[in-house]
Amino acid sequence: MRTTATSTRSIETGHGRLVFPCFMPVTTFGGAFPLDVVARPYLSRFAPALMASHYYAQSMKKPERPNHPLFVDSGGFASLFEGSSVEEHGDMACICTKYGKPLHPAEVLTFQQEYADIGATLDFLIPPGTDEQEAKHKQGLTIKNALWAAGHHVVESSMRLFASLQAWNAESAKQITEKLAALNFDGFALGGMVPRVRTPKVIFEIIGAIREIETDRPLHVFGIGNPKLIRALFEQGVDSVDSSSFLQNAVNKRYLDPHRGEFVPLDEVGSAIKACPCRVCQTLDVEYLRLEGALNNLALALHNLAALHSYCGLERTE
Amino acid sequence: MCNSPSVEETLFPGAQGLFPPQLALLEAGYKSSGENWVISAPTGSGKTLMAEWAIEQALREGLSAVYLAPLRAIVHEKHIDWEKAYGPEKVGLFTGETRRERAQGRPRKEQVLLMTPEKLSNYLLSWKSNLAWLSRIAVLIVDEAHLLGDCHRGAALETMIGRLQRINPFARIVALSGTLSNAEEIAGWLKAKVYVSDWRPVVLQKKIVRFKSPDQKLDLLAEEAADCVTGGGKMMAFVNSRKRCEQMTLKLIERGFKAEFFHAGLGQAARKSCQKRMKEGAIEVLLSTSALEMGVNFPARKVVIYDSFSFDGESFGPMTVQRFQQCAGRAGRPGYDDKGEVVLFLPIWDPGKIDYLKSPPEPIRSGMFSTDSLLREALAEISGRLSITSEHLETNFASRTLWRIQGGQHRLETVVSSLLESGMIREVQKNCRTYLNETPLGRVATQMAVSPGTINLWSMIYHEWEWLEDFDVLLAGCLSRESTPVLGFNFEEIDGMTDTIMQIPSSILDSSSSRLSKALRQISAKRLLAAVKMAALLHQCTRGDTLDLLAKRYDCYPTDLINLKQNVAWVLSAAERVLQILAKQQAAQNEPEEHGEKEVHAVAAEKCNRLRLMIEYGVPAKSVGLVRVGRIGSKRARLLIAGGVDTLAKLAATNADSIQRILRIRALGAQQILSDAQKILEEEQAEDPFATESTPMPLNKHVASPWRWPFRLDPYRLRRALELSVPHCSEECVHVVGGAEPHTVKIDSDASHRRSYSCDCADFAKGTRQCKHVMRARLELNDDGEILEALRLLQEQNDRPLRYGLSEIWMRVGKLFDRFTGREVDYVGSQFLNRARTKTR
Ligand SMILES: Nc1ncnc2c1ncn2[C@@H]1O[C@H](COP(=O)(O)OP(=O)(O)OP(=O)(O)O)[C@@H](O)[C@H]1O
Ligand SMILES: [Mg+2]
Ligand SMILES: [Zn+2]
Repeated sequence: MRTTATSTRSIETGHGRLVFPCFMPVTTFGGAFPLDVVARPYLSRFAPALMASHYYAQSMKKPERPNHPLFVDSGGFASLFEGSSVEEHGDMACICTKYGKPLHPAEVLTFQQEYADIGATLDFLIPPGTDEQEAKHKQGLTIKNALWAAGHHVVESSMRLFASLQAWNAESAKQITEKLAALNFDGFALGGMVPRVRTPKVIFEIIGAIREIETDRPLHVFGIGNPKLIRALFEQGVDSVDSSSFLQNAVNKRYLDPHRGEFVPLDEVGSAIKACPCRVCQTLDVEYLRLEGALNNLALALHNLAALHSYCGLERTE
Repeated sequence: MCNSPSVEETLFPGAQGLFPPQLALLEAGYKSSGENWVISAPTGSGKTLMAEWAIEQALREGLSAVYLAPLRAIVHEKHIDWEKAYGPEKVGLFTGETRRERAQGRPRKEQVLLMTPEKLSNYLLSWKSNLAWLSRIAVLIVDEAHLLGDCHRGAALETMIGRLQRINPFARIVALSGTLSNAEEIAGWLKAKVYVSDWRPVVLQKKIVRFKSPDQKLDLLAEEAADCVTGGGKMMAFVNSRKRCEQMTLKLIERGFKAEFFHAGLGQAARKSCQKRMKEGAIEVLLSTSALEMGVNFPARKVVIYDSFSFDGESFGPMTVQRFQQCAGRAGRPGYDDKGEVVLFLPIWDPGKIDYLKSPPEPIRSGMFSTDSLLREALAEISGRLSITSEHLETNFASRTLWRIQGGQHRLETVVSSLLESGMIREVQKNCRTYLNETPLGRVATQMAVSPGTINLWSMIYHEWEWLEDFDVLLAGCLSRESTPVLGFNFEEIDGMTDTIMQIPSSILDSSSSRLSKALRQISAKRLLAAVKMAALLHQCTRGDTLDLLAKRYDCYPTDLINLKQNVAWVLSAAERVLQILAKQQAAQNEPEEHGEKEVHAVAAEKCNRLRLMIEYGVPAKSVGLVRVGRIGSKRARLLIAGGVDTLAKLAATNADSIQRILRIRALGAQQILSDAQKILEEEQAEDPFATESTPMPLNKHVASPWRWPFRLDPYRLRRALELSVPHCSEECVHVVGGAEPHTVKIDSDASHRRSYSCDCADFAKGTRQCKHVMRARLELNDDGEILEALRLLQEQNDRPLRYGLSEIWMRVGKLFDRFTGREVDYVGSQFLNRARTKTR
């Protein structure tokens, strides 16, 4: 049984009210991805909020801070880097990598409080196939860090704190949600779903379990860029997702068919572009999108973003 | 979001009444749609409000609107209005045409941005560093959009719109114009909705008044003026030259009218005071060239179009319908006059090829049909990294132009190879692909906004002439396209100019005409003569002659000279960089032993620099060093020179006290000037230990006496005679047509069959026995005396140096009307020479 009623939730942020459901396009800083720099100023035309990873957000210069709601994740995916290790302390845990200083919950929280409108607590990813023991241990650390952050989140900060959730099935989802729902978080953010997109059933089960316990506050799912899946997640009670797939597909010259919700190689697009009502397709043409080049790629990325919004029913109506 | 009262409320309190075009647009959903619009509606139909609607929509969305208009007068006027309507912090003016303004910053927080197309164009070429505000543009309003068809500025506007669409595909385009007959075609190009209306707030009543001879025109004008003024109206008349504008004004004043003139030659102060009197209503009749056509307002009941021919800077031609309508549209003030009257003066012999009263204006034709524009815009694409391969040039650029829609098929490969050949771009192989990159030469062109043609010209001159004198540098500067206004050169000036240039050292003036025509092949004879005049003028200016004096001597306006100086100075600063690059390239190619040559070439760049400073700051050669000091501009330089400190060396050697005294500045400033001067002097001496005040020049061997036209008959009139034709001819009388009016030449033969000719033209009446009609008649009757001799001399291949050959070059100047009629012109009278030849055989 599905509830087709999508979110009617919203939260106040330091950059205005954020109304769900929404898609948060990912942006990076520091010039590792040139297309991001060019695309960033346009994202706010579609999206009510942007997502930046803590990892890249650190390269953000003050004037680069978008004048728009910004979600900064915890950068917890660093625990998957080769040679990284977890360092446990009494009431929290850090991630040590070969690069740079350890990722400490305090450091993450301080940064988020300075730059972000929404921040997620430092979590530990649990890839599919992780053995039960290890998975439980990582979930325990994720809970520990969430509790730590809840205790250290400065009350005056306008930053909204989302508790990161990690789960691998309904049962584990139930457990972590029960522990964290008791606290005063502004919302929840489910991580670790990217490697599970091929088994959406698992994701739906996890979300179902979370929503059974936590019915009020916003629920975000990290890293989901497949329009069909996004639509399904919204129907399951998810409030927001984020992804850079619209950019990556643009670089790979893949075009989001706004009617089918699928990325297809530009060479196979044919007349779909004529039917696309987005401003990019109304102004430019397939030949233009097909060429390499900063602006050509920008145009394709912007179409992808527009098409994602229209496919998921997220067009802004103000 | 925007709290300021909407413009509707501020300008039209309580008016529910919109003009019909405005209402129609509202009903078509213009205000809230995100679509592009092309709107053509007559002057005064309220297009400004349409622009304001688009601006307000952008403001509501928290985004920004860019408003473009071709004339700074319009932009400034709107700036004042909109600062009031939207609040000064929201509105920004970015015109930047003068050098100082070019350094002006970029938009930041402003949401209503007023610019000229050229300014926005510039920003788009460095789009990456301007993306923060470019990405926030919600609408681009192109006012007076018929500028697209302008042969000089149209291409830049056209490509600029295309570039903005690529950089910010969300920017909505709104194009407004009073005269677009092919609005549909333009809308097709922009994928825009189109709205065309011919509604006017005041009905226009148009009539044509025919005159039999030009000397009737003044009476006719006075009649029209009397008719208008006695009825309490004001009148405006358009004439096609500034001189005539002034003369007619004086004549009307003599006849008791309160008349004034307004044209682009007026200085700032004169212009302001004229505008003030316009506002006060103190002017009954205003005579103008085209300056008022767009923008500035003189509300008049009647508009007289006095001249039906117009001058486009190069040649005369019949006025376009476009121009007619723009002039005519000014007639009739809404609320005051129940109708506007338009009067067009036409000669009775006007063939009526153009029906001014009924024809729609000429369709806008893309400015990219000019090769120079095409080259410039293609180079801009590459410089701005907007197109990185030939394929991009085609897909990103060419295929998206109005030019292409209108059939522009010029192969992009030829454009690319021409840019490659002239060294402005180069090919770079990477990953099996050929990328196009700009070279240092190309960078000069785009950064300094000089055309590829100008860069080519300088590099041609650099390679052709080993040694360039000051005059040569000035001449090259004046030949450059950007050196406007181009001062006209009249036949009457040839002798004076020949004398003037005789003593001026110059490699180019010493070159034979065949060498010149090879090296400077794109330059028309007329342009060459104009450049010689302009260069001579600037040369005298660098020798200390004042602008007022020069303006009088060369019969032009000080404002023109100020503009010319500014533009030539700009060209020279670009040329300096071009010459440096070329010298470096040549040095790299040359064997190390061939050292001497390199220095000669570096001297040319140095000359550019020195002459630029002289022109820009009005200082003599020996004092140029003064203005190299950062804190010294033209004013301080003049003070220093007056105070006896006229060289850099002297400045460096004086003490801070005297600097302080001369310049009347603080001690600290004087101290800084002194130390700057010493530093610069040191650097200069380090660079060139043998530097003297002036560079020694190679000796010039000038022939003492100039070559002069050897015949009594006037070559100018002869040339004009060749433009005439003879529809009827007998032994007693010859009808001659093709000039301003038809004339009849009467022939009387005496007993010994010697003919004597008389003509009914004004020239003959003044005592010119050999007026052009008489010459033409004699050619027709084969009674040609020395005329054939003169023609033969003209046809001979002459290889005299330029300085003796001004009159020959003059003979090559194109016929005045041929650009428009498309008729072949027999410049040298070959038909008559051939006829004579066959006869002798
Ligand atoms: N609805 C209206 N009611 C009364 N007056 C109006 C209305 N709309 C515009 N006007 C007035 O009409 C005059 C001409 O308007 P506007 O300058 O917008 O004309 P335009 O179409 O831009 O003409 P042009 O082609 O010469 O630029 C202005 O004085 C303006 O204030
Ligand atoms: Mg207007
Ligand atoms: Zn699209």
